[in-house]
Amino acid sequence: MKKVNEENHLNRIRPATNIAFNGLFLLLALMAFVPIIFVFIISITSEKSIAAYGYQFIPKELSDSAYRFLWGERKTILQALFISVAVTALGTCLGVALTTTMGYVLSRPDFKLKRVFTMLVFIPMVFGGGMVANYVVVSQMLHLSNTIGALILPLCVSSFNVVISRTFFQSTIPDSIIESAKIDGATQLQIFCKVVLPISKPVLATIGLFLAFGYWNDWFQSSLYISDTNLLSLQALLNNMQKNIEYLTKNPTAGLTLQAYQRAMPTEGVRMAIAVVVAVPIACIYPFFQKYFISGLTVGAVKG
Amino acid sequence: MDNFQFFLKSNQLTVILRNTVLYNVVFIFLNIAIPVLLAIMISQIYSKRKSKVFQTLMFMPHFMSWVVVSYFVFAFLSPDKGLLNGILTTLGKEPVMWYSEARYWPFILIFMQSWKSVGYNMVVYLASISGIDSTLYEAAVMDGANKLQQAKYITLPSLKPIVIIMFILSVGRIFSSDFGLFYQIPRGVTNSLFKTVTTFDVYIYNMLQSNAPLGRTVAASFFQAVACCITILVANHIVKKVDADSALI
Repeated sequence: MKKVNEENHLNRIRPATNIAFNGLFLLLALMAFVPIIFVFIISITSEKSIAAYGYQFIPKELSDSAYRFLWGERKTILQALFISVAVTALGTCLGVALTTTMGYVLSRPDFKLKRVFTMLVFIPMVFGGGMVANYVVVSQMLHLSNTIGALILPLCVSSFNVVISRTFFQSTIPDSIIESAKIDGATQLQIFCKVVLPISKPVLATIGLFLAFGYWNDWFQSSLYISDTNLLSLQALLNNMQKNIEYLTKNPTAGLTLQAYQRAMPTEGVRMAIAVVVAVPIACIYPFFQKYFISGLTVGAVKG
Repeated sequence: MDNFQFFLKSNQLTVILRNTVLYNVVFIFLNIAIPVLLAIMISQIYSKRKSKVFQTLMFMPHFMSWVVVSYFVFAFLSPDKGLLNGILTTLGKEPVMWYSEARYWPFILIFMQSWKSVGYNMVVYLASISGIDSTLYEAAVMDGANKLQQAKYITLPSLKPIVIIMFILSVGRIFSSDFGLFYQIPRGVTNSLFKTVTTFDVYIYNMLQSNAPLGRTVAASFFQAVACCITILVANHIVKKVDADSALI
């Protein structure tokens, strides 16, 4: 349809309709974006102003006390940031490695166990064991509670991603390339690493990004398996703070008792400031990766 | 077996079953109808640059976790400081205790679900719209078809396969729910909201976190898994009958 519009100006909607559509989408786009701006404004509103007037788009009085407070608690924040980054990086690398190798063998017609493994991949797509089964396996069989493994392994490989990569390999890697590599005496691993992977960057990017955003945004695994506060990710910290803000107050400034310190904390602003710290990095970088998500979705026309 | 009996007989089963299925039915319908409509509309906008900007902005909520979104919602709904109650009081109306009034929650949850996913779904459908052969439209113009007729007779039928795939995928998940939405947005399910917002996943999660015997929790979870499995197989079977090429398995 795009082409039609560019080539054939006759087949256009009326100018008035165009304006109406533009207005509608402007409104929708604003609705998508306004909350994050609103939360940012709250985070820089002074506590006094919040107490007197509530949350406002145009605050009466600005203050950086929330961010200053976070800076004072930077040990906790940086620890959580470190966990988030470590889990995202490790999980994404491991996940991409496992998913693409699985997808690759399933895409080869001469792989003897192909049928069995394809079944194994498809079963979880139809029949998931449910939350409790996962919980029992992770916490009681693998004893991963309160380890970083509990944050990484449960999200690492999904059937959906395996099928995406299998479909990609099947449809874009010609058999002849692999045959000729074999004739040149390459081992299977060499074929995969040196021949297949270099021409599979789109699918690597798609799966890597699916995984990276999944890990970064995950709070659920943490809420199930993690009670050690040193292993809380940013999302988990935010989740816990919903219930009690005191999660943050572990290092009172010299000369203050813990209670006095907690009372002095700009509670409202701090909550929102952490939400901003978690949300803004993503809001800034996703536009650059958006196209891989879309290509992943179109590849994701998954068929068995 | 006792565990299953306990679960099946408990009067909570009907409530959570009803909630899970009804919310999902609404979500399935809205997640197809609204994004398809918007995708067709946005594909008609003159300026491709503007269209890209709108898409990118509308895609944003998809990348936010429900925890973050719950803070967004709180900024609007907080009983004493929220923007909505602020507006209500300025208008001279009584503030609403949003987090304990059950009757508003179906709308809030449905609205938030759409808010988070509409941009993403729209882009999915838009991707298939831009894949439609443009000669079809040229021919339609020759035959004197107007825009509405083109949408009805060319665009919608071309979208049918992807709509069907999205439909089976979501019907297969009709007994599961987006845990984050139902747990985070109401900020942990309070008693007054229990009947309105509890779905399977929330119920199971709460049982898992409480001291309920694991056997009962497993029963609930297994019931959900089996129900999911059956629905996805049935949905797939029906689709196979209607249109063999679009079936999933």
